[in-house]
Amino acid sequence: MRKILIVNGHLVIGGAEKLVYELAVFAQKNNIAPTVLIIDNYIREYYDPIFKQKKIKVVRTRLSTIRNFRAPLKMLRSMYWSLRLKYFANSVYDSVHVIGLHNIYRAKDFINHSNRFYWHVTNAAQGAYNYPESYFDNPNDTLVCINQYQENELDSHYGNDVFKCKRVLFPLFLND
Amino acid sequence: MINLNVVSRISDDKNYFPDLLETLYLLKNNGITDVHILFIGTVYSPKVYQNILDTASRLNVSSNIAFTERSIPMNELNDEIKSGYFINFTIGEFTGYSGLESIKNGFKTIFYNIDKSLKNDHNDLITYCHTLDELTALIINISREQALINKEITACNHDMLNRFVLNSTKKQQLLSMMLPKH
Repeated sequence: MRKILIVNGHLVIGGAEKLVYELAVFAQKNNIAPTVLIIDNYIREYYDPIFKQKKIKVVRTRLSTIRNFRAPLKMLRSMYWSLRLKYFANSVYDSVHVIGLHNIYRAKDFINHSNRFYWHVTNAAQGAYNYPESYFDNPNDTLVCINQYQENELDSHYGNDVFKCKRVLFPLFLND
Repeated sequence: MINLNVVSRISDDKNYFPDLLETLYLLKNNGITDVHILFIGTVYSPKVYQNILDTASRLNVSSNIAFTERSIPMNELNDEIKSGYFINFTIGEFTGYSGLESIKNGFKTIFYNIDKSLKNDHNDLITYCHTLDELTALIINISREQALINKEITACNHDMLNRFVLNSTKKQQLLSMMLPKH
């Protein structure tokens, strides 16, 4: 079965988390196995039992190399996932979907994959754009906007030349 | 009694709550005092929370607001809350998942634009309020002709639902994003 990886920082009740859910359910309905990766957060949250019930795999770990000898199992798991995603992500997953530009820093240098999608889930009215231009410098990556306003905001803030990555517009959706 | 519900975490990036308090204030000035707002969401920012309390106090509408102080899944809300009006913050005419879920649950949902630079980006649907004045006017209309306005809001919400179901082209597009080499 083909696989995708969906990356976020939380599974609380929220819009970004709902997008994680809808993407995962869509994948599953189309015979694609989603893995939901929650980075740097070990708290059991709202969607954990929901994903469990749907048999959608959730992995909570960290990818940066912070030693944690008090929790050796967590540390080993973290090392396993770091290696897996740094060196083997391309062979395991068909694509990687990072939810929220604020999560790119957790993924860009740690998950090497030729098909990474960065889903942009906020608008300028919610806070100024303070993301480094380097987030958008890889021609293999794709920046996904969920509304036209975001495209205009990105262009007026960064200028079109900054975007070496691909860009697409894909509106929010509900599976059923 | 008109019950308004706001499903949103209380946090810096969602801090459009004072606008709603101003609406309560304007309504009171128009003699409409029986409007209540329930804020449904976890308090992530005590500062934003305190600002709501302070603003409400300053505008003399403290008794018209309440908080759940935690997020509650929409389908777990009690029937009294469900029968109220759900105010959803939008960017122009873009609504996030809380708005989508609200109409999917069959709640009477009103969209309030919080990006004032987009106020000219207009449609004439009753459920879209692009300014504070439009929101206030809508609630005044609800207080005058509740049954009629409810019917219009419900019809308008229902018409929106189909927009969020993926058609075959969009399904293919999403599949090709998930399986790019396919």
